[in-house]
Amino acid sequence: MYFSFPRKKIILLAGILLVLLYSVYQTFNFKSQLFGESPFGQIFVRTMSDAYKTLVYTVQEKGGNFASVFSSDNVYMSTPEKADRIKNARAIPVLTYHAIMTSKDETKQSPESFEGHNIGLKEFEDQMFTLKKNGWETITLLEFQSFMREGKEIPEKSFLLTFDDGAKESYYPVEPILKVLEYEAVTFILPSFSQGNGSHYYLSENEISRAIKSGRWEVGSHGNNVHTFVPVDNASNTAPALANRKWIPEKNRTETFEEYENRIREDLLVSQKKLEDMFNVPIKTFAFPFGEFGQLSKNIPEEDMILPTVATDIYDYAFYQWWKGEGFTFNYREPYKGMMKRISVKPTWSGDDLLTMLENGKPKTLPYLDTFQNNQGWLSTWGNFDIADSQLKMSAGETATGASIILDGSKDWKNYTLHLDVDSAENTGVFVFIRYRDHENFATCNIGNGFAHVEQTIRGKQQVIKGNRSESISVPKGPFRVDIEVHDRKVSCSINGAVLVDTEFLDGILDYGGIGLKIWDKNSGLSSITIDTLNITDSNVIPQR
Amino acid sequence: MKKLRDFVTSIHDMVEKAISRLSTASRNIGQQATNIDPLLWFMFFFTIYVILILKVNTSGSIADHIFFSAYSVIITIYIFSRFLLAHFHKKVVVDMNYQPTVTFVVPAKNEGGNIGKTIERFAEVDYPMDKIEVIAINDGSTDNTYEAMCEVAEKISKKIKRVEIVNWIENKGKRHGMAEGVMRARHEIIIFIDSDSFIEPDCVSHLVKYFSDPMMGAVSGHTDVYNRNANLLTQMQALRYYIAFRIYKSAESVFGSVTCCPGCCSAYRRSYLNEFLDEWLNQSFLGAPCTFGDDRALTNFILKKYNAVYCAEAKANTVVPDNFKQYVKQQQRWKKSWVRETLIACTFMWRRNAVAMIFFYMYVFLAIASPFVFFRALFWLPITESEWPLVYLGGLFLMLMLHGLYYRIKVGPRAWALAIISFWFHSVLLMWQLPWAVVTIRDSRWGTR
Repeated sequence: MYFSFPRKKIILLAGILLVLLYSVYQTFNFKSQLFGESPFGQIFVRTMSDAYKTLVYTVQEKGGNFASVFSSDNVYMSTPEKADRIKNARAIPVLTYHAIMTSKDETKQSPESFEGHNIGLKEFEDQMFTLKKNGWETITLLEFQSFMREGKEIPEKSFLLTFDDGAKESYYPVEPILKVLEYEAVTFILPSFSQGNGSHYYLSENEISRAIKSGRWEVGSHGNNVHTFVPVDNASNTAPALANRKWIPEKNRTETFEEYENRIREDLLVSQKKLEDMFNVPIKTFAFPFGEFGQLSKNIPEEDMILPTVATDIYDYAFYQWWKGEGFTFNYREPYKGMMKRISVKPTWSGDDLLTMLENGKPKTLPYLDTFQNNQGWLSTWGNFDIADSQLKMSAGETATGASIILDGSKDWKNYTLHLDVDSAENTGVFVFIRYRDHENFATCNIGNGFAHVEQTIRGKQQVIKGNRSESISVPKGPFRVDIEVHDRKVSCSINGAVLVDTEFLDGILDYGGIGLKIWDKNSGLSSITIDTLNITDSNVIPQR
Repeated sequence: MKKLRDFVTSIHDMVEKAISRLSTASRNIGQQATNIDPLLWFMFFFTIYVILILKVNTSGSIADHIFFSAYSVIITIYIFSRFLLAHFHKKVVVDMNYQPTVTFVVPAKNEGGNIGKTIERFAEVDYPMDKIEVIAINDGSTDNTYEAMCEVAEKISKKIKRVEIVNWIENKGKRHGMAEGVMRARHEIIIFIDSDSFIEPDCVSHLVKYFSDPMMGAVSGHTDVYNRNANLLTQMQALRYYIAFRIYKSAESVFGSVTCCPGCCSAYRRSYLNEFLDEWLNQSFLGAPCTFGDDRALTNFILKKYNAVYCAEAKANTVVPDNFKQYVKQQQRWKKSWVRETLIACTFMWRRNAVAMIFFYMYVFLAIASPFVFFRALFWLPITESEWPLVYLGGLFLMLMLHGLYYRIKVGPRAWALAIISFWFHSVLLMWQLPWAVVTIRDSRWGTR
């Protein structure tokens, strides 16, 4: 053996080894504090890509202006500065995103229940840049709140940008975009997953703190332990934990309504408390896991639905996801309201798709004339419709009995007179929605062969306020005109100038609301209608054709 | 091309200047003039730190890929253990009372240019001249090698005990030349010197000092690259030689298990060589006669019964290939003999010291696994997972960086940074050589250079 161990060598080496190991240990400690469980490689890639993307986005965003500064005439169109915009917003859309996928790797990491929610970075970039270019700006939760409840004016084309679940991939790819576009966002955190170091997938406490500190991010709650599916019966059917009564195997029954309420109240309180303790900021907003507030509950009937009440008890705002048929896409100023809707952005939407959605959803000004050159915001709530050849066509599908649509952006209309040029091949009748608030609250002029009704639906319960029955009432085949006047609590419905029914007893809840159309016949595939023109005037006088 | 090279060189000069300025500054801060360079040592340990961080960081996925994770852990342990063991390598002092007689054996073919200088140095060593014998073998040279030999023999014959020149008209191969030298030698210790290697004057006394131990069969000297300033390729090889001797041989030497006492400058005990000289001379592998890797084979025979060590103080310089084609050929030859002799060594290494044995088999595992790891990182993962081989190439670079820094610390300002980049580049470029050597192991062409 040819080695020797002089004490000096050993002591020196041991010292160096200790320092080395301690440094390694401390480095990991420090890293976990800053970045949670993310591996170094990922941190490195993220940091590099943040810098790189910021540069790319800056060039992309400011590049146009730089170029025009050097152009010969030195004249360029400038979009109005953020502060100079006219403060005329009447409603605010809220967008929901989950994770932004930068590579196919990320899908592997994300829990199965998120599949289909995540969206690619390219699409996200396209969406954000398109919105920015067309004058859309984000607002903060405070601005949202003061707009909704305190009458503060904010510019039209304002939106709230939100991200659910607090995934790392809902922060890192987004951050450079927010930085460059001067946008802000809200992230709905699952405190039980983000606590401490978080995980490979979820943001850690310190990452969220840093996000908040940057001023670009605000935090809301996404529930403590309820972002999961639980068994709801003994047949091992599962459903979202927050919107359903849980099956208790030990007791061989589902939890009682009381147990259920206690559980969800506890969870919402705990998640709020945890987040407030972690970040030292008030947590005033909540996002329902899976967007469900009980509307799809497996074992809680609608009349017993308490989740929205509990959620808005604890939080100022509880966000659910808007769905087709639910009503308008924007949140209108309703000071007493805590339930807010969000548009869940689909991975397939281009920037222009999203822009169209928001532009169409913008509250419409009166008087309003629609000659159906393109879709100005008609939304299907049931069945199909088509806008082509300067006509709006509705027809029941082969196996359907009818279809219905509403005009997005009309929710805050109050008094209006509506003139429709209709062409009907089959005299299956006409339903015109007025004072439409949402799918459960609206009034209808329902004119069929032999009757004319003014109906109202309040909290889902339909009722005829006034109905006229007469052999002389009929819906013509071919072209005819429908005029409907809505003024305070008065409604009158006319065909070709003849008032068929009128009432002065519209429910006070429906003191404003938008418009829509419906067709129906008991025989499937039969009902259809074509609209040539829609003209809305705020006068009581029916204009001459 | 030349401009590019100038550009790279100028950048290197800048880096080197900055480092030397910083290190002088850092040296001045601390103690008085010492040869310890705090800045460079800091960089050295910082590199280890970065490697450790990388390794710990990727340790999370160990369960996913046992084989590749094992490779990653073992290679780290192996390389760090080399530095550690080399650090504790025992220094042996020259014993003036033990001065055995020595024979220099120099086989040469077409080395007319160098051979004179090589042999001349034998008569200039700090060692009793009457204990020195020189046997030079001209192995069928077609140039003036024989004449040069005779000329220098004439010159030194009066100074030393005995000079013998063997002149073969037909080329027989280096192994035959070496064996002929051993057979004709009369002295106790045989020192093999390559015809293009030049020894330092104190080389002999350092080489022989280990032989007072009767278990000692062979001692490897330390060989540096003579023509290191020729180009980047030779600069890179200078670094490789330095590290291969100073760290890797030194670490093996701790257990007396140096696996290769190279032909360029090594001493063997003649009485032990005679035990297996014929066997060695007629060695064949898989039915084909072995025509290269003579030194590694010789060391293997020694290791079966005796010890082999490395002596850092016994210095020689050797000429290395200065063009890529020759370099690749030489490397291929070495890889083949490495495969052959390592397989043979596997059959008896387990009988040696337990620690030496563990590290030896570790090394064998690493060598076998490395092409697979390389293929996975550079081709498989990028294609199937679109995963770029950043960690692999970065890790490789850091490891080589560690070697480069050690080299820079020990030998002073030289083209170390560029050499490291070139080493890294060649490691990646020549990764195919080992599997290719396995495939073509029976093909003994390229046997001579």
